[in-house]
Amino acid sequence: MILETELLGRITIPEEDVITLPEGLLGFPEQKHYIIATLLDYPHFSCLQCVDDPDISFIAVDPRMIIEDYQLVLSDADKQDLQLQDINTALILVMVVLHPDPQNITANLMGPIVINPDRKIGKQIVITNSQYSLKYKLYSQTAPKAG
Amino acid sequence: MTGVLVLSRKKNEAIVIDGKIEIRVLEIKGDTVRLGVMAPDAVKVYRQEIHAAIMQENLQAQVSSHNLAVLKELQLKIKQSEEK
Repeated sequence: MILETELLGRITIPEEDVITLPEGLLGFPEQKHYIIATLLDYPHFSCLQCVDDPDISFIAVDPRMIIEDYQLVLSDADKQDLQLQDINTALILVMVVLHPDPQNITANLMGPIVINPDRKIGKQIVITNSQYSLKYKLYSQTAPKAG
Repeated sequence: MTGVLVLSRKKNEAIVIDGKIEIRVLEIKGDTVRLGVMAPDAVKVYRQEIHAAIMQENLQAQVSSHNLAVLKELQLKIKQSEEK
């Protein structure tokens, strides 16, 4: 499948890589198909590229890269929707909101997108009972490790 | 959705939605109402503002080729912190 995207240009995507989000993302209920693309210049980040609308692209990051013990508890219904037995096998991404000032680039740790990589099904989960921030500042939190 | 159903409930009274969701008024104190929601696991219940806030973040997270370069400095910093 060939996609003319604004962000990544013209890309060829294998159909088997397409991930289906049956409920879409919050605010994007109609767009249900995405691919995860690698950004060569920014290897720590991923691009969540919409297949249904090539003009819709997001930057995302694995929250476990930001917070080592990022915890996510799925309800039985979530597990059923994702056909997922073990959360450790899931791919987890959180949305990154860019800002001209790098200090103000944030990640939304409250609304992770959980993907079953085997079944290619994904879902945005809303975490309500945690201390995770909606606007987690990435720059100030990636402080060089002590030493 | 067709219009808004408006009804009055007293403390300890409830409404039932679709035969499986029960919302009960537990307490009324000033302008705060405490509600108890009983619903099957598959039914997601959130405070409306949380839902709206995540939707807002998603909308803001949309990115175009024009603003991608702002990641440069952050990427560099992450790389440096890993090397330390």
